[in-house]
Amino acid sequence: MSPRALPWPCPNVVPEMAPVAAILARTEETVVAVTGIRAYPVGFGFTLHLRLRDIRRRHGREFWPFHELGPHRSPPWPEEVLRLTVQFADGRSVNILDAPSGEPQDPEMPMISSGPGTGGGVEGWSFDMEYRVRPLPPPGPLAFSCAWPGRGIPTSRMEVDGGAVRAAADTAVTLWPDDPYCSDD
Amino acid sequence: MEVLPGVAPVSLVLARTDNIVVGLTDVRGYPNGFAFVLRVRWGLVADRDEQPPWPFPDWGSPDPLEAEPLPDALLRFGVQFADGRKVTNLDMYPFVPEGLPADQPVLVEGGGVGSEGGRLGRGALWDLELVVQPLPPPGPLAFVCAWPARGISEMRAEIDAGLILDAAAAAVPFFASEDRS
Repeated sequence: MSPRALPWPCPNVVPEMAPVAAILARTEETVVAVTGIRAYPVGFGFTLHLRLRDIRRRHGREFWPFHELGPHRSPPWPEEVLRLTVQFADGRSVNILDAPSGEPQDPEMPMISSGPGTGGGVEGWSFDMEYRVRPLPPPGPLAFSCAWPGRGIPTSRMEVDGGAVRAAADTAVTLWPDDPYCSDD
Repeated sequence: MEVLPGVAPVSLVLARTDNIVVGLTDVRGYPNGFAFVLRVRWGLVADRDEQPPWPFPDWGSPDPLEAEPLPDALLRFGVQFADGRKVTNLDMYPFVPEGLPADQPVLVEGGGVGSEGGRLGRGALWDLELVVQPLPPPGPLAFVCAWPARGISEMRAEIDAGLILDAAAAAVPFFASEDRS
């Protein structure tokens, strides 16, 4: 198995926290927020919080805002699918809708993957989803942006300190360095 | 009213042996308490067929809390406030007794984060979200654990409760219509 194919973050690391809690976009019926950030030696994780009202009137019973794990599998993405982008200070970026290329991944290009999530609802809807990004961002602004046409949210952006994430990663604790299951994590 | 919690800059390794670690991260402050993720790691094991234990005092059958003495396999975990009030996972406050004083801290499980393990000697992991109510008073806040079966005697780590109180003060309602400020 290629080390890059391994799931991460490796459980071999206790992450350090670079505290972030911010509302990325908000209307009277929709909230997109980010908390975290869990910093690892090779990347970072955060939690995306979605809070929605008035689901049934807007979307009916089949609402699903993610591009995975549900009925939406490939472009063109319907308007109810959330667009979320993470951008580094040097311009590199990744969107959760970016399709895997099938080619060997340039380790310097950011990758994003979803982790565990919990939530649901009928009239109101809430969901907390973990995301993981690698590699670590360079110093400078680390931007989170989202757009959600189906929920009336234009492109919205917030920035945190990429240097703080890197500094936190430096103090993450690797538990047993010789774990063969953790490869370069 | 549901709020977006504040996040405290806390990441702890409470206890560590050659192949067991009990850590704690993701401390979030709410108006009426705080939450965190207890991260238990069981490292590589020589016996590829060895099954990981279930270290928590719930979901057991028979109920491990009814055993006398308590099984060594149980991970003991607790929180102590600066004024001496404390709560542990052996108190089983998912079943809060009637008449419990409002200032008595309770420790309950939040949404489970995940677990994995028992595969081919890789060990196991448990990420368990726990919630403590109410908020602690200012001063040292202690996290304590012991795991007799895994060679961990009582270990204690303290943080400044102000970190959690600051995070709680930063919590905001998700929806602006619920923001009273």
